[in-house]
Amino acid sequence: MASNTDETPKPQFILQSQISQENQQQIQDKPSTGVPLSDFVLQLEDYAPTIPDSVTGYYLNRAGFDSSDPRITRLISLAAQKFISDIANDALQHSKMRASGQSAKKQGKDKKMTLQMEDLTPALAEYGINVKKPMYFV
Amino acid sequence: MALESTTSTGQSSTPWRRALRTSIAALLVEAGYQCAENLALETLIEMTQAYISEAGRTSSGYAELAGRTHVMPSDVVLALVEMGLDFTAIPTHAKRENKTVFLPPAQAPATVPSKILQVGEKRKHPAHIPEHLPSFPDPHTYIKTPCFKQPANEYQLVREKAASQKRDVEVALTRFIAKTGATHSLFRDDKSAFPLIACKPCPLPYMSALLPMDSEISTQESSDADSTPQLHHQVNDGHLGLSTDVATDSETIDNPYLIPAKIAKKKWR
Repeated sequence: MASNTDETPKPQFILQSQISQENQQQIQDKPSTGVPLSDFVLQLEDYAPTIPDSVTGYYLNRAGFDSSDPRITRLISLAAQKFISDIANDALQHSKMRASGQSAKKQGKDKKMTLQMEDLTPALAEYGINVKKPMYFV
Repeated sequence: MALESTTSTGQSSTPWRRALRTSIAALLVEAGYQCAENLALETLIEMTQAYISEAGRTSSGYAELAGRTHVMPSDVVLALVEMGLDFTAIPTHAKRENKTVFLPPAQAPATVPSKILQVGEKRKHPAHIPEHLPSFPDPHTYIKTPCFKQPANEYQLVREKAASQKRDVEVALTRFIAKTGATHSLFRDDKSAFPLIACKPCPLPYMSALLPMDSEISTQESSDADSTPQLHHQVNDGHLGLSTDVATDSETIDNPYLIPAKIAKKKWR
């Protein structure tokens, strides 16, 4: 564990150059991402993500990933959470837009917000994921 | 506030998938949903599974590319960025206000395999089998012993059966006589326990053996009926009551069906 924490900063700097090469956005954030990211990985020691470690570890193991370091597992959990949260937010925006278009007709009283496929499909399409599911499949 | 699904929740088999379902439902509640279609939720679960697997696969690939077997955080970050994640938003996502954390599913206690019932003693290896080979199973599983039924007419069995039958008959007869006749009691307090056949003292016990039996008397009587009836009666009256009773009975029978049978005359001399 100690060796890991010592080694993390070194590839982090190499990583920075790679990221900056790949993503032009990262260049502006470079002073804010570089060192804080390695600090953030260290902070994950006492962090509990919403997706449990055991669940993430199980799916990582199925992918041939040996997760002896819980911080790595938590980092991936957080990334997956972020992914899902972003999609859910986009779908929520879609449903609100849809509701505002129909509000004059019948959406007067506030209903329960329901995640539906007709909101989820355009939200996923923004991420490049095309979902086509038969509507009768439940 | 719990997230309900509009259709009946399909209970998935694996516990990891169920835990993932709960986590994603919690994330949806955080986003502001109160309800979710089962179809949409299952889609998100599938996507999360694929996302985690892809992240793991790519990061281990990066680690192997760098000549390592153990994955480092930098590999994971590289893989996630490659997958199109904006890493600057991760710390703010991690420190969000309405974070829900539920208890991770506990490890189920491993079931202890029940002990195998040991029957008999296991045989040792013969000399030609090395010791490191597995031992023999329980002897009852492979040893054959001949099984036969004992014949019914075996000598010992027959003798034992005959002896027990004889004893039973004696006991039954003794009991019958004790019930019908006079009894002595072995214990004075309890009359019914251990009844013994009453012993009639007889002045001349050998006399009954010396005297002729009933059939001989009757034949003698029939043969010598004409010649010496008086003498015969005198002898009978003087010595044995029983035989006189029989003799008098044969004279007093008036029932035609009970006439004593006639026996062919026998020459005595």
